[in-house]
Amino acid sequence: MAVMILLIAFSLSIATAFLIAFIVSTKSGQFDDVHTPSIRMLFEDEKPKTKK
Amino acid sequence: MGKTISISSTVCYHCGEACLSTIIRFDDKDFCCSGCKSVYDILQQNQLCNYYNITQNPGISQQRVHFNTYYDFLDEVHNQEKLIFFKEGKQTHLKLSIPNMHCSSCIWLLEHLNSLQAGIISSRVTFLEKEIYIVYNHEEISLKEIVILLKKIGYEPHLSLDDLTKKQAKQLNRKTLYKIAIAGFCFGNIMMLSLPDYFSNGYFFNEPLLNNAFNYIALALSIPVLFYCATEFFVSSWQVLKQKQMNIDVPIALAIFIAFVMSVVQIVGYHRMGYLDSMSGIVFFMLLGRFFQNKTYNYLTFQKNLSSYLPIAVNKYENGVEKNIALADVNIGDEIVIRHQEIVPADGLLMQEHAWFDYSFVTGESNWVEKHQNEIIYAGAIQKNSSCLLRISKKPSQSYITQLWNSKQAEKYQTNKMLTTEKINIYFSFTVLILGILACAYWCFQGQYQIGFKALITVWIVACPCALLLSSTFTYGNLLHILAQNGMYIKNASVLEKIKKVDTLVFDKTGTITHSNKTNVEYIGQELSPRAWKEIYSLSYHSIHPLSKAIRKHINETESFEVHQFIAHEGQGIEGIIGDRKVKLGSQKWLNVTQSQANRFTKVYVSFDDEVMGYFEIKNEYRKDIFQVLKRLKSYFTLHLLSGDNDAERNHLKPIFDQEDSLHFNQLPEQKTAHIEALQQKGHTVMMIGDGLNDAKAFEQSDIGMAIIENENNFLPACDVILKVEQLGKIQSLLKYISQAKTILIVCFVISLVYNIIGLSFALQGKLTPVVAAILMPISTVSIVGTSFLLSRLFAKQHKLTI
Repeated sequence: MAVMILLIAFSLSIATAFLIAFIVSTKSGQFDDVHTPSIRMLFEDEKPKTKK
Repeated sequence: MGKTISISSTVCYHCGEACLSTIIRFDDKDFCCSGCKSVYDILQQNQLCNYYNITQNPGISQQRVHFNTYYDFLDEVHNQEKLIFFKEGKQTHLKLSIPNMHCSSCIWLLEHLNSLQAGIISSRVTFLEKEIYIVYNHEEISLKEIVILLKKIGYEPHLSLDDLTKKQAKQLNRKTLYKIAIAGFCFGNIMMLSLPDYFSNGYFFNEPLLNNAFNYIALALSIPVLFYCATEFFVSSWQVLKQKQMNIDVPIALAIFIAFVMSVVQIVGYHRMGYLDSMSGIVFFMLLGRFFQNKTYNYLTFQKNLSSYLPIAVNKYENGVEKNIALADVNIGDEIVIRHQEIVPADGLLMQEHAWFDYSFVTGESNWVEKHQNEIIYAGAIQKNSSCLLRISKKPSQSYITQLWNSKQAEKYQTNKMLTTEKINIYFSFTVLILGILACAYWCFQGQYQIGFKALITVWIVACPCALLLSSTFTYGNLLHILAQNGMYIKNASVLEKIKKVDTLVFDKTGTITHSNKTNVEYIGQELSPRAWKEIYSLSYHSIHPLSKAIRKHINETESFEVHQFIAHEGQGIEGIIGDRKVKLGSQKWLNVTQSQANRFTKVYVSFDDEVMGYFEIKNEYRKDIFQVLKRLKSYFTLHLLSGDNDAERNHLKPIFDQEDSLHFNQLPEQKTAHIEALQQKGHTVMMIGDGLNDAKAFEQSDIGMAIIENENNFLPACDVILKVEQLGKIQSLLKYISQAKTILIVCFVISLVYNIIGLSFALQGKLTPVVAAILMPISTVSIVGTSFLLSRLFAKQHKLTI
């Protein structure tokens, strides 16, 4: 059963990796604004358009 | 965002408003004013017309924009420093607040500023906060030019030189997120590690090594929870204890600390898991609950600073030259120039023969007053002449209006009172502490120290007040969220508790139950020929007075005649010669009409060649369905109306406000306050429902101040509740819904009480193993949070609220 310790170590390290990922993304400002990007991504790509 | 587009008339291509007086055709499109046209022109030249493809008519109407703002003060370095984020080489980072931002087109355009103007490197928008973050090359373009550019395309930034707190708020928000994430992570993992302990009385593996490993990993995980995530509880309770007071964080901190110490004792001494899972669970759920409860509505400010109403810069007149300086740099004795429609920023003496001022900003009543040389003009007055000169006699910070503003506000809006549930909680935790000690003493007295110690721990753990606390934190958090979704924004949870007690509603009239800018015009008198109508239209066309505008809108002609010898008599009327007829529009007095009825609606009389034909009655239009709403409210609340207007509408309103002493007209702000105070002295809990700065004092006096807003950028006095005007019809459901919070809380209390009684009855006898206590805790927590969540949704559905 001692192998359990290994499994725990695994699961903990995976969970920690996600925690760190979350903290890093928060630090980089990803969660400061959760609204605007959802609109921004729907804009057409830049092409100087001639008007209809 | 709900812009009404009338079908019948032409709609401005830029802003979507109906073109009323003029239509400007340009590039095969219709515009309502030259302002809108020129914005279109700029965008078109820079090939940014995609702006118009994302949302229909996205622009901001340029009709109401005052063009006489000066930004020269932005050339001064010490003013720039307050707006600029940081400078690096050639790049400057700038953050501006843009209240006009309202749709995806706005985002698109504002993020394409770099193709509009050389020198701007990039721009990025935060929509919910209505902010733009601009990076620009300060060698190519100055701050002033950027601000002017934004203004030119209809997005005038709101500049404030004392606004440096935003960044800190963001940092704080991130910190809470870290704490929640770490607490959640540790809580989940500790829970998993505790599972074997739950099911096996602690010796699941028969291997002490494994058991110990689990226990110590859990202990290690709980350390960041205690020393990082839970710090705010300890800090805050230490601070109040130092002042020999109590707050809700004290029992929480105590529970967390006891649970931790006991767990360490258990793990080290008895090789048992202890209560680390409960401890981290408490911290996680409390943090989460607070996060929702404290979630601010970024774009709304409940505590408006007066300075946001006053101009940020003024034109100082010195040695014959005008110089644009920041308001903060104004000194006593300075002479400043106030232009048409500008607000007087500080008390001062009028330096010219006479001028007209409108104090509607302070009193709520649009009333023009003539002032003469050397008279004091109080800050807040709006200048109605072409321009006037003022000598400042008091610093802006000491003006009458500032004092009015500051008088009571600090008192009412800064005390953070404890909620009822929090008070109950403190008593509860004291009882539990004492109960535990008593039980321990009892068993020790019997000589059974083992049982006594066990009873002490289990009583403290099982009866942890957190279930009670969580229920109120979660219920209120949930409620605030649902209410916000229905257009009602509430400052904080303690306001919710107070709203439940409200039994009297006091309404303001103009802007609250009537539209503030929509008027109803009716012509009464002799029949007029179509030509006469056109003549009135043509005459009114030359005046910018709001009454002329209303009449013009009412007649709604397309073409006008030429008017000769047009004269505007300030405060009296206008006259002019059209064809060979002399047409006059003006007040009763000016046209010498004998008074027929006293003090009815605002009237504008019309005469042709000095023969009075009739008059226009101008009244504010009532909001749609307002009378039904009021009638429904009447069966639950006592209704009062305090209006600054004249009593022309008394008969109309009498059926609704039919109680004695409930209908008052011609009220000054001070009278409104006094009336509310009188009601409160009779033992009523009063909610004031109003819309503007003139209600600010009444808001302060009342127990709850509710402001009605037409859009989120409106100027607002400090208040407790903000309600969107479209939701006025729902007000009764919303208030009822809030009062049901009590039911939800009671249900949650009962549930947690049942858990507590079961747990305690075992614990006091020393029969409850700590493990069972530790299981009972999270179960009760989850069931309470779940109940509160489901019930608040269920009740919302009952009232047909959007969830």
